[in-house]
Amino acid sequence: MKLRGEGFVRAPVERVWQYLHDPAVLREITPFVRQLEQVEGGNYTTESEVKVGPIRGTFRGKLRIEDIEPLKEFVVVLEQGSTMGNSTVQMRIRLVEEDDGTRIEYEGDARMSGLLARMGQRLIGSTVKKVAGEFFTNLQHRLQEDWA
Amino acid sequence: MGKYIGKSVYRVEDDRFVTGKGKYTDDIVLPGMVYVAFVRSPYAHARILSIDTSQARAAEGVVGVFTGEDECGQYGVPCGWQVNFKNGETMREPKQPLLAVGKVRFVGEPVAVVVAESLAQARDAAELVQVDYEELPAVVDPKAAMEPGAPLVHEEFPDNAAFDWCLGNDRAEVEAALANAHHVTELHYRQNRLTPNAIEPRSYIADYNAVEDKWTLYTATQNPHLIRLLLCAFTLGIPEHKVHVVSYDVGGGFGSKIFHYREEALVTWLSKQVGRPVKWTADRSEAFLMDCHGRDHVVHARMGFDAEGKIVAVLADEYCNMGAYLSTFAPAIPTYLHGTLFQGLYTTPLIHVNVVAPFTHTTPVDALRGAGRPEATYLLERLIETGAREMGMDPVEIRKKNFIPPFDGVETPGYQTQVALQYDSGNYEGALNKLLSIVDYEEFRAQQEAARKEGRYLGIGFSTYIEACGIAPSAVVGALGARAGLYEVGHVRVQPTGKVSVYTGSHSHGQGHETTFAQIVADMLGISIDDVEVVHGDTEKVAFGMGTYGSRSLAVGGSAIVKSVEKILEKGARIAAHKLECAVEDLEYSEGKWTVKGTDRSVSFGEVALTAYVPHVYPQGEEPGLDFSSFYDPVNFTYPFGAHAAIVEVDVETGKVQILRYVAVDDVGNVINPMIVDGQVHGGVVHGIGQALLEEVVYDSDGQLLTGSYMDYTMPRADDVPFIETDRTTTPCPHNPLGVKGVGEAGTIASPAAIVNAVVDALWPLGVRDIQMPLTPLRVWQAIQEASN
Repeated sequence: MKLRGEGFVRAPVERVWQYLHDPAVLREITPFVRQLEQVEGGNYTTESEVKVGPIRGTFRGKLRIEDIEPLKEFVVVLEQGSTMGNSTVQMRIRLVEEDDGTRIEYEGDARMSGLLARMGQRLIGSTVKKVAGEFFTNLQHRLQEDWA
Repeated sequence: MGKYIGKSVYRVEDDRFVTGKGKYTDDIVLPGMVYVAFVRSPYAHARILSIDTSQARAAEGVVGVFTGEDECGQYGVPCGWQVNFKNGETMREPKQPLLAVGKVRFVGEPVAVVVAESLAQARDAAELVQVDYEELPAVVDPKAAMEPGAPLVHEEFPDNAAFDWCLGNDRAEVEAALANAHHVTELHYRQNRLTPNAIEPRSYIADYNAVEDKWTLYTATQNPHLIRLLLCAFTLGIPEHKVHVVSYDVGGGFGSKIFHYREEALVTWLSKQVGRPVKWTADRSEAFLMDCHGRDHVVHARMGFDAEGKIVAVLADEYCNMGAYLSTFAPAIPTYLHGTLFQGLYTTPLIHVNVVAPFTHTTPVDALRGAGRPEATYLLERLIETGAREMGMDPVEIRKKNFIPPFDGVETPGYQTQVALQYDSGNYEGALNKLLSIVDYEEFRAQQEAARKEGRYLGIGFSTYIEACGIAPSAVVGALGARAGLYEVGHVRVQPTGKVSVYTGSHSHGQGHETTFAQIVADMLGISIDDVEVVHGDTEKVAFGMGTYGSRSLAVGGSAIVKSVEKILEKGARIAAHKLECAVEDLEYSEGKWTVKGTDRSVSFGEVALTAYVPHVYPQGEEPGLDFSSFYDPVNFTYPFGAHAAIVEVDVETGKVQILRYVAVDDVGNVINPMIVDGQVHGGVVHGIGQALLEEVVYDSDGQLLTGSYMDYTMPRADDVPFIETDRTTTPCPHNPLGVKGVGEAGTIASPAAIVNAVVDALWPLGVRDIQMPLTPLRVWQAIQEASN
């Protein structure tokens, strides 16, 4: 399933880039995420607690960041498993400098199995939009707190 | 015959159903009972690399955790029907282990099972079982499964075909007839895949008693004795007399509760392992994943006509999905319950059907209400109406040109088809004529014409169908690959006080056996229906039986009961004659008493019953008691038929189809309870409306089930269903004592074709020729757009 969207934060590209690569920040601002530990380089382990409609449970998995073009774009590959099924999300994230801040575009696709596929497929489009919205809002707040 | 048969007697079982007092398997709670939760495959096809159950075992309340590596992985559930390749090669029959071993082959396949003190504990612990999979490519479409290079479902076979089978006349002859035909109508379509949706999910409780070394299995099934036989003799290898199968009330089956499932065998095995009663009830999600699906044929069908519209040949090539494993009756459904119906109601001289049945990485596919016959009816009825329209003929006239003339199977012989069956009796034009008189066909055509001028699109579609029911003559089905006989058992026990207990091996899962069978027995004995009790669903009360499916209960099960009542009347007459000091020939039986002809001397049924058990004054040499059991093996299938019409309006802006009228004229032979028959027709038609307009199981290309809840799988609701008008003609079955044919599937068989024909009739002027079921607004709208471009 294809995913695509964008957000905007009032901060320069360099700062946004730095925050998007800081596990401690990401853990704090990403909805559902409870744990995000760097294993080595661009590899992390993750754990999230999800509650979306009928989809509830703990998801554990791996996150990998690759194809990094500093200050411009990178690819996030997130593989998560739970008793409700497994999901693989591959997302290209692009930062675009604008006059008063940074536009963050994302584009990718998600594959799901098990109960997730049966129940979650119809929810994922709207959920990703909602989660992304919260993420950008949180990111903006965090940037303002740190740099105001 | 008496005061009950032919009357709409209220169903005796409904009192307990509508007051919430029905007794279903999940209602049963046994002391010390433990609960089961399954770990199921999230992948359609994957190798199991490892399973770690250590955390689950340590979890609170857990009694045991088992995987395919345990003893249960060695057992597999069998297939009950063998259909071989047309070249003689034996059907490919993979093992279906109770828990997956090494590989998983469809989403939902059970991989591990957790037994715990409570259901919540079992489910929590199941989440702790860690399974490492290596995902493999999957194939879900039956035709794609036969392409070179398709992922193999079972590596031990060279390709995915379970069998490649054909029936009918020589293919070359049929092809030649089509080549020389005046007109050939051709359709490519998919028989949409359906899921059964019984309101009561499957539920099993196994209770092993170590003292008796014996199991009691409570199961929501359509056929308790058949389950016992399969479970004992084929799956677990335990002596049959050591298992007592009990099936109280069952909330619908539609075929899905015929089959012997892994979960049923597994709880039986588990109960002895853990020494406790073990319960499992499917949740709705598991029902979508595990209850066998139905239909799913990819079809290429052709029908050739001469210039007058007479059918000269029918040829069908079908890919019929078996799913990942062969379920109990799966191979029979698209073959001997499908290809054998390609004669339809018509005198077609040349017929050939070829069925390739591939394995795919999907839930097993098996019988679903109608089972093979809705698919056959759809094929013929879509072809004949499309052919009529293409040739500018009337769909009614073309049918009348092709109907087999009336025959009663007594004065005029049964009709021998080109596809193995011999029809028992029929008057096909009679049913259609009755339908036309109700519908007022000519008046409708005028309305349709007028409506089109206003930009409204009305359509009428017909479906004239035949089905093979009363399953089944054992010798015939044995020759066709059945691994069981399909007779039925009826045991009638007259109690000393004249009350009557009837034990039937057929089993009600909503059909009203307790009423219909009591009506027959009460009338034959001339007693009150309140004095008759019908018992079913218990292998230790009922001697034997084959259960309920294929509209067989009345034709086969009812006939077995009739045989036993006849034996009671014969013996009763001997006792009565002794009491009245006359010859048996001098007696007549009516209204519950034997009377010496031409006198007022009589003895009542109750007195004879008491005498049989208190035989103080008794015929010499006569055994006491009034208790007979009979096996009835039918000599042929029964062949109900009928004519249905749907009148629809299509909103061409939105594609929404509204059914304005639905008229069903069915001929099911003699009718015991008209209200129950009407109810079966109503339910069947609604089921068919679901297939025609709403329902479809969808997998994505990875084999993930996308329609796994009622958010995505659309069942018909009250506002999708019109008032259903029913009527009947009566052509008795000549070969069973009741003259009955069966009605459980008729509505489902006839209705999809009638509805789709009606929609195509409405949209024909716009250039629409065919639409794939289900006819959702989107599909109808798209068909209109494509036709206009």
